[in-house]
Amino acid sequence: MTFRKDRLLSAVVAAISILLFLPTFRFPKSASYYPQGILILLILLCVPLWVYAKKEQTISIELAIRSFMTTRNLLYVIVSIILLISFMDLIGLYIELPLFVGFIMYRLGFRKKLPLLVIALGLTFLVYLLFSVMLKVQIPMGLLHF
Amino acid sequence: MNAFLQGLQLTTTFPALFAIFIGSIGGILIGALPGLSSTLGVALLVPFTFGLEPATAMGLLAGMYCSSIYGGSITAILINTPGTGAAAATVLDGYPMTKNGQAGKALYTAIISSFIGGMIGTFALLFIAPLLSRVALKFGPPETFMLSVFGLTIIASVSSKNLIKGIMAGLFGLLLSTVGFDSVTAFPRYAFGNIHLYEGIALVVALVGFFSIPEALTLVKSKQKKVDIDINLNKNSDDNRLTGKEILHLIPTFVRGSVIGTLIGIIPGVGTPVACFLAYNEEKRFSKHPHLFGTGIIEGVAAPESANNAVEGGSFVPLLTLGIPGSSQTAVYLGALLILGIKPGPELFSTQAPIAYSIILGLFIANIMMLFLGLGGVRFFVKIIKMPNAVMIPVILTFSIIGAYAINASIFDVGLMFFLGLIGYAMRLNSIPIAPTVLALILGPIGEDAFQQTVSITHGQVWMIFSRPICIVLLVVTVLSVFFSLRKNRIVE
Repeated sequence: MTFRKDRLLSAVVAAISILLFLPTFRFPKSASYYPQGILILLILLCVPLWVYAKKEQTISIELAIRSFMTTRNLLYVIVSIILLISFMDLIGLYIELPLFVGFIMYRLGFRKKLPLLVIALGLTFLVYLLFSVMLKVQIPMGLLHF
Repeated sequence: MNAFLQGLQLTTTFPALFAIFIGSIGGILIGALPGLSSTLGVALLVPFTFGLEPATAMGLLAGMYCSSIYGGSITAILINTPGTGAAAATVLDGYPMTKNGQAGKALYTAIISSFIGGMIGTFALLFIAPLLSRVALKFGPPETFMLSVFGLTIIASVSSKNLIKGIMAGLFGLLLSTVGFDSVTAFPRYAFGNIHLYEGIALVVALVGFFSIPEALTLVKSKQKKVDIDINLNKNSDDNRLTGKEILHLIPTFVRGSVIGTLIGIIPGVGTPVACFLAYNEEKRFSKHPHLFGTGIIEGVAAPESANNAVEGGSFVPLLTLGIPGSSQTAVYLGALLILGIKPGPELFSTQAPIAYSIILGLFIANIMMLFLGLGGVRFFVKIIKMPNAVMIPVILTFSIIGAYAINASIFDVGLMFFLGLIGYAMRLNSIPIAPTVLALILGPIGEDAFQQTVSITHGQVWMIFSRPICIVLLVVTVLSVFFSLRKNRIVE
């Protein structure tokens, strides 16, 4: 299926705006006017965006999904960030971080093992020094919490 | 005069100068790290001020305050990640300059502009503080509301080519700003039962998400070694130095940015990011080549950078003359002053005049130290962009994640930052500018709160605000700003 890019965008924005409009009915009246006003303006702006969508800027959904899935590195980075955030509390940032940094560097083509190890561990140590030692930020320790 | 000289004597002792030096180094570091604000930096130093002489203690805090605001521009220029909200507008031309191989020039522009802005703001504090404090007192909720409306007209300027998409991006930012407790009813809007969203979306979480995650993902997707960045920085190239001629050319920009920064600084509760965007917008309107803004020009860096450091001096006006902290940084400062037995207010300049002058002179010296540290650091800072992508990307992601976490020690904030980052990436793919979203996110709560208070003050008869002279002036300025922005855009097209 091929769409004009801006038409697809205006449809998505309009749909999300309508979805976000529904909860405003549960807000107290005075708290609802402002978000309602914003959402109405957003929906109204979808009309000119749809009308003036350029013919030459089209998008095929199948192609877009295929292109995203084949850009493996992008997928790996996004998934590894999600995993890092999901397990931060359980495993601990200082265990996850060198693995995360090392993995991304490796995936992006950095193949020299020793420098990779030094950078991954060095960056983790720098974070520890700046945030835990100097600034006393309570970093999630996970498995290291004993 | 005698009190001034006594103040000078107090500020130029070795411990006081050393404290300013240490504060300045710490400030550059804190400012450059995403997620760590100048408020946090000043707050972290307060415990170290116990037992210090007042001038030494205030020097330490002044060094931190001035340099942390400048520090935010380093990562904004080099890796498209504003370390603080104050650097949000610097990204607009600072990062494009890096992409054009002019990282050095952008950094020199940022430090010189920060220095000049800081000095002009502090001069205003020294010479016309009592006069300016009267302006601060005249700024009520209606004036703040009109100011935020004026600020929103900047969207027309930063919307690049597509005004509809720019306005939509701005509305999206306003919508994001409604997340959390409503200021009147305390109803948690769009929190979906999640207590982490009750306080709203932290500005730095949004800034890091919207700027740095899309940048990192774009770098990943690119098959090039370095996306659009000219890594062949030539030390001797004119592209990486700021010439005397360029500095002279920038003088009107420095003055405009500094005046805007100082005036915004004295208004309680408006904040540094607003000053930066206003200065950027005004610079674009004054420019003979507005179409070049956003492509990487020095005026686009000089205007917000001179404004954000001028805010410092301005924000000290209500603090020292009225005892009112106009920003979170000066609120922390007020705490430190009270701990040291200094009571700011109308009587400060009569009862503790040498201390009052030592605070102001501390700001002067802090700005000078920041200039030397900044100038000396440029050649080290630019090395960051010579890192290969395989190293740069995990570094950006690591500091984005840890920066988002450090604000509230919340893993939820990290997830939210990443989610906003993915939205920012999708916006980038669809040519939707991110700057209007960030601008609206900053101005949204200020404007809404001020409007709610205005409705309450005027008993629902909001039009009565136009009986106030400052509101009328701001309305006229807003209308003219929109008119001239649209006219200029049309001429350029």
